[in-house]
Amino acid sequence: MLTLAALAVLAFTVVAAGCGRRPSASVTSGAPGESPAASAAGGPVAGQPGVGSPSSPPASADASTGPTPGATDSATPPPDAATPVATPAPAPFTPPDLTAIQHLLDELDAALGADATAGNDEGSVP
Amino acid sequence: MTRTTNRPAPRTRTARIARIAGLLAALGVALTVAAAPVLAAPRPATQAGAGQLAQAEELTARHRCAAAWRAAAAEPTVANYQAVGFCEIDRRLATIDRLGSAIEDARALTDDHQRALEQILDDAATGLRELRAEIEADASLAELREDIRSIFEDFRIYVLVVRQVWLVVAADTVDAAGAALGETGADLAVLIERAEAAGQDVTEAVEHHAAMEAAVAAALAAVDGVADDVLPLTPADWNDGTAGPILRAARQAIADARADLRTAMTEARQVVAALAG
Repeated sequence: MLTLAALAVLAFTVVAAGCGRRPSASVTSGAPGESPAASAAGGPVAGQPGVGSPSSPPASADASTGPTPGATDSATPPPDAATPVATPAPAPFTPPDLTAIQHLLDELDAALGADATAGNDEGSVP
Repeated sequence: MTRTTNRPAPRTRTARIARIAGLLAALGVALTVAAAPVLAAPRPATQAGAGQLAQAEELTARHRCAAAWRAAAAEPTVANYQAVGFCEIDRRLATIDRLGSAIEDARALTDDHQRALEQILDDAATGLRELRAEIEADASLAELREDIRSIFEDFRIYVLVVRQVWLVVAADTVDAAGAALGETGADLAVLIERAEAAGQDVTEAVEHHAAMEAAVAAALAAVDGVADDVLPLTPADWNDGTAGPILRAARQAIADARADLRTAMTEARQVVAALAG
């Protein structure tokens, strides 16, 4: 009975810790190596709600990453040249996080403050 | 007479102990898992608070030494001047300890600069401890005056070493902040391109982005070579008057860079505002 209770506590804690974890750059990024700011504006991510099949072009304007050749969904007809392609809705704008840089500037202030007071108390032989 | 007890049979006891051990182990693992995100969280900026505490400690030690000086002036004995020497050396050793901690805590400090500063601190601490032993062995006021003068002139802890530490930390912090702002600038450039591709007027954002990048470049250029100028300075350089101007120039360069970084931050926020608007 106690062992079952312990396992329940462990499982609950693991789930709670997972939910409370801060999002890191790798979590928020859409692709490895991509910055959070860039990925945040890159549009929907495949597999998330509201994202179409691979035949739907990604909202990202990055020309280097287009739909994978041959990956077109057979249920979706290829776009007709005469038919205007619907422009995907723009992704919500997410600004870059400047908090870490602000912390560095605070540390810079502290270092300059310490330097300003340092040279005043060397003292000397009277 | 045999005593009866309610103790459980050994097998039952073993099972109970095993259950309790299992429960404790599970709780331990659970606590570890729960604490992991907290432990992994970035350290809050507490440098300012630590700096204020260090200043208070420095002030207390300075007042203690001032009292020792007054006692020696009132009654110039070997014991009183030894007390002066011990006080002045001990407060410098305490300062060196605090500087060592500050170096360890300085996230932006490069490895090379950290090693160089640690070497300066180690050499100074070793020299001061040797001088303390000499003062303890001094038997005349003339010897003591010479050794006490050496505390100031041969080490220059406060006018030189402390400033070397903080100026190099500050210069490296400018480099780190500049690099981070450079990455942010690249991210913002991508956002500007995407906004433009979506038909948004990005004229204002482009202007602020250019100003941001110029400010970052100016900040990085301002501190270029500052650490290399400051680290080699010695007490002899201070005594002959060459170190002072170099330290002043370094401080001014870092102060200018700080202003540039603030400008860059403002411009970055303006870019964001322009894109969001």
